[in-house]
Amino acid sequence: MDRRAEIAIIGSGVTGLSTAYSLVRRGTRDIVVLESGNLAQGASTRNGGGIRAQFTTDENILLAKWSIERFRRLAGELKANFWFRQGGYLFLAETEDELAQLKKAAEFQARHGLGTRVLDNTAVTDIVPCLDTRRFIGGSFRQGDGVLFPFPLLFGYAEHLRARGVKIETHCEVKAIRRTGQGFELSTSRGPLLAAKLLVAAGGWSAQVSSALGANIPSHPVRHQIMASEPLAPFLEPMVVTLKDGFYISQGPRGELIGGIAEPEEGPKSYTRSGFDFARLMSERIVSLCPRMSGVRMLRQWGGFYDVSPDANPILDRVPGAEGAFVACGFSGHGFMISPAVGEIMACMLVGERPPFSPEPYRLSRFDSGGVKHEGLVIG
Amino acid sequence: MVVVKRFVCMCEDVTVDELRSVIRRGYADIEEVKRITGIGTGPCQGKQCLHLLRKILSEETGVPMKDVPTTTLRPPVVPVPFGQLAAVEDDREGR
Repeated sequence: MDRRAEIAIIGSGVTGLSTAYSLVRRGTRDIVVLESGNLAQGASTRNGGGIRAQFTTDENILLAKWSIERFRRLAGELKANFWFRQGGYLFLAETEDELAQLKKAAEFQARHGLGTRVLDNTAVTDIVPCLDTRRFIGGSFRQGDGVLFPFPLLFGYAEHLRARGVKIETHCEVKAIRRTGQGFELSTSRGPLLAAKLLVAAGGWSAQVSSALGANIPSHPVRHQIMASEPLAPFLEPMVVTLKDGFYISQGPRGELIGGIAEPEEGPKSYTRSGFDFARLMSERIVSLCPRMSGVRMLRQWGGFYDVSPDANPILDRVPGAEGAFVACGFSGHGFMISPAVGEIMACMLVGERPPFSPEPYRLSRFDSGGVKHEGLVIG
Repeated sequence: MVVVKRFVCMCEDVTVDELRSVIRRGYADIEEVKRITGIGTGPCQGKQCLHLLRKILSEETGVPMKDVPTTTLRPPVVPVPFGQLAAVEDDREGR
């Protein structure tokens, strides 16, 4: 008995599920999503839930702005409460250089009507009173950014899609991919699957999966860690970010502090392990920025990864040399927040429609021409 | 009216019925159950509830208890204040 599908999606993370959702909205339901572990096991269920439009390229701002509008409506469409709270993103600058960088970004973002405000320390502590003003000289703030709780969104997508006939097969690993005259034959841990079209949306594993199609995709996973504190009464409305060291912290829907910090890049072996150095680094930063937090307890820490591309921007393209196969990866730590727009783009590519946003800036060919615009606001 | 609720996870208020209904909706993987219900992610970090969850998973799926995995156990073993963790580097560098 052959398993067949019009479209196979490798990866049940937010990119794969969002693409499946956009496909279903276009009337395509013959979709199988393949996941090697539990649902959305990778970065999608390991991230901090930050959603922002404060980026430094036109394309990223457009995708993020559109995605934020979608997040506002998705809860109702999916009947899933993922606690999207637009409490803003507060960036803190420690030096004049950093403040100049924030001013430049805010001016650039003004062209897109983002309303990013540059703030002095008094204005910063009007928003978050507990911050120690000896640790920064100003910042920038945009109210429309915010945080959401990833799990209910992912499970909401999954239930919505399954109810409409999309098959999501967890614990089903793709072991090999063979091109046939009609598309692709995937050999999986549950037997073969024939698909006319294929999307690789495997997060940190995307380059590895694409290599089964003979393609060389220039992205690789880099470990990042996060931690959560015990629950506290609500006191922190925005996501707070420091430019210097990629520190970020927000208060989740259950009152817990959730945050991370950039660490030295390691070898590719330990994507999801957690280490003590992170706990110390993170705690030090929390206590220095907000001394009142020193008695608050860390409950747990965990590892995840960014799938990093050479210019910290996504790769959204056909897989070279494999007609009918597409790849969406390299999100470099901001895949979740632009996933609704990415889902639209990838769904359009898969069914041959014109996407609402030009995918040109995200093509693989940009790495050949050398004309890449590196995203300037990568956090963590 | 008698309301009967049997709690498995006292930190996150997860009941036996809620767990059974989530598993019956198809989420038989312990990591998925954790992520949907929040079980084991509160202040006790699963120390009270993890094995009760495994038992319920075993009953619902027919998988023997010994073959039901635990969730990934995360450090720290017990909650530790940020101030204490932040002070560790001072010791290490001999300041």
